Order: sequence, then structure tokens, then C-alpha cells
Amino acid sequence: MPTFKNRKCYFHSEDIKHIDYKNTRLLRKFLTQYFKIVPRYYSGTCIKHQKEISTAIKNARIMGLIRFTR
Amino acid sequence: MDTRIAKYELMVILMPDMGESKTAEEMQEVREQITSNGGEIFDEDLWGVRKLAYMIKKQENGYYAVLNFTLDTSKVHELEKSLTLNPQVIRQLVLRVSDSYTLKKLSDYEEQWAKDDLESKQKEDAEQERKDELKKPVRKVEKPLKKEEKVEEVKEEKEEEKPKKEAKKEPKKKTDEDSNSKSKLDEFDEKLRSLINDPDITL
Repeated sequence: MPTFKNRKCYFHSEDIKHIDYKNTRLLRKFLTQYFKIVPRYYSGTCIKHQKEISTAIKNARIMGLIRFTR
Repeated sequence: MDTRIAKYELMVILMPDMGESKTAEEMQEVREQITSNGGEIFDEDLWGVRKLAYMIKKQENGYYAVLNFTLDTSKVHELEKSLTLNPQVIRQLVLRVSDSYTLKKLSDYEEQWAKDDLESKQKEDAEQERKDELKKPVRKVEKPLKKEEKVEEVKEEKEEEKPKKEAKKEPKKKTDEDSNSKSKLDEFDEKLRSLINDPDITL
């Protein structure tokens, strides 16, 4: 999980164009310890990528790749 | 209605206790449903039996399969419906994908993750080594060093005091004896030597 100080969007800095719901390691970075989606004011992602990642996390949850809660 | 052909990605979770031959048959059925509707499968990734993150339909494991194909946009809904009605399918997910998309297989991801793990482990090890280096020698070597340093410091103080006194005396002498340039040079040399020798000991 990116810290509060890193205000730059992770996906812009890493140049990731397509966020895949199968890449669970990447999604885990944007989940809290209770598997809730990290809000934008903590992670610093831009609104476009936040929406993409939230949909990806939801898809992964439905397909049993990530759990809903701890 | 005008029909368009688009790229899709399908992920299916099948029942895990069917056996190899039956799962293969089920997968063939899914493929036939796509191809009979004018679709074309161009990529495939069978993950095999994996553990689910939570219980789905009283199952702890599931047989994962990912298919990439092209289909008419109007016929996707039928495919989804038939899959939901199939009792052997636990879950299914059909996603529209951009034309430039290429499937990244699970093995690729696992390789990447293993690499990341290795890098993080190496970093941790390096940090631990640094900490150990900082901790151990400080505890062990400090005590003997202190004794040595104390002795050295006493020496240094003595050494430092002497040149200072000399230095104090020397300027007075200088005022008295300006003509003796050679003696001045010698004094400067002594000063320099004392100055050079001091920091070496302190360090």
C-alpha cells in the first residue's frame, strides 16, 4: 500500500495500461489488512485508475481469487 | 440489427471432483458454444484445480479456465445464460477486452511474483546484515576501544597542550626575533606536525 507521502499515481509512475483482475499481487497493494479497498486519499491514485482497480478487485472477489473480508 | 465482432475474455470455475475426462468434456462444450455461434478461440489458459478464497456452492476448490475469443456482441448474453444454467459451472465471468489485449498467463504472473519475492528477500537480508554489522561490532569492540581511546586521549591532551604552550610562547619570541627566518620555519614545521598527528589519533 503506497504511503500518504507518495502522492503520485502508482499506475502512471509504473506505466501500467491495463489493470488485470488476475494479478492478485498487484490488487493486494490496494487493499487494507481487512481486505477493504484503500480510498484514494490514502493511495494517491488518480480517479481513472481508482475506478479501474475497484472494478478489478470486485471481479477478482466474485471469482474467488481474493476474499471479501478477513 | 447490425452485428459487431469484439474480443472477450471468459473465466470459468468448474466443479473440482469431476475427474479429468469429464472436465475436458465440459470444456469442449463451452468451446463448442463459442465456435457454433461464429466465435473464434485464439488463446487459452487452464489453471487447473486451485483453492478458492472462500466457499462457493459448498466447494473449497475449483477448476479454473481462461479463454480469449472473438464473438458477435449479440450472442454473448446467450453464452452467459447457458453457463449460469449449467450445474457443473460454479462461477463464470465474461469481460469485454480491448483489441490490443494479449492474455497474460498465470505462469507468467507466478514467475513475476517469484522474482519480486526474491528481490524483497534480498533487500531484507541486506538490511538485516547492515543492522547486525552495526549492532555486533559496537557492543564487542567498544569496550576495548574505549580503553585504548582513553589512553590515547590522555596522550593527545598532553601532546596538544605542549604544542599550544609552545605556540603561545613562539609568537612572543617572534616579536623579539623577526630576523631568524630559519627558526620560524622550524617552528611552523613543528606546529604542522603536531596538527597532522592529532587528527590521526582521534580518528
